[in-house]
Amino acid sequence: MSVQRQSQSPQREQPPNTVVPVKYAGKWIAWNQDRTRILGGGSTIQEAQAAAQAAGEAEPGYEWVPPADRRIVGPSR
Amino acid sequence: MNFPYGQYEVAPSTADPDLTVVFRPVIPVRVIGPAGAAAFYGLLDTGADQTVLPKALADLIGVTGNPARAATLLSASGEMSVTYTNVAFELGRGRGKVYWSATVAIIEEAWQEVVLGHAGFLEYFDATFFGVRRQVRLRRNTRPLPKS
Repeated sequence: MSVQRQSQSPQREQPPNTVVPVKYAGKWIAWNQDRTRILGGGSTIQEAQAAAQAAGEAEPGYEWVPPADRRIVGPSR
Repeated sequence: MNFPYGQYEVAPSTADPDLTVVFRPVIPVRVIGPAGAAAFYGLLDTGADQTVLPKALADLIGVTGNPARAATLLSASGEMSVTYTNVAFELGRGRGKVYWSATVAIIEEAWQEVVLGHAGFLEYFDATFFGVRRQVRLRRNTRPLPKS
């Protein structure tokens, strides 16, 4: 029996994530499972949830996007 | 586990007028509570003493902070009141997936960001930030994971 090993090299490149467009700044967004597509967003997490459901995504991931005109130095409100 | 940084389109600032995209070590983590589980993206913050979840997230998975366990946290924008509760975390995929239980702070105020700080999260990993590749690597360290 042969055992196939996946490379676990820390040097392995990961594909970059999709850029979050500025239109979602300050909003909750829903990602597809692989973080390759933004399914929609809104001012509340429930709106992001609704976008994920409308897209038929079984395992969405939610994220709040900081405002685009602010740079983060320690999380802020 | 390697995670590419999140990429965010931003408005120019006076400090960096030509910058259009910033990169942040924001990674996916699954948070499990009594009402369910959901995947969220949180900021790995080596400057944060604790792990912080916004109330919107807590509501979604059915956890509430214990009023008897209240405290004040100091953030970049001032002091904020929090309460603490326990959640379960799930990180990674496939055979490398890990689970643990953690005490987290729930922000009752207008805070939306998931902050993955030392207590409850980073303490269980050795983290390496690769600036050129814009990736972060988390490797399990020897600190035992509390059972979820």
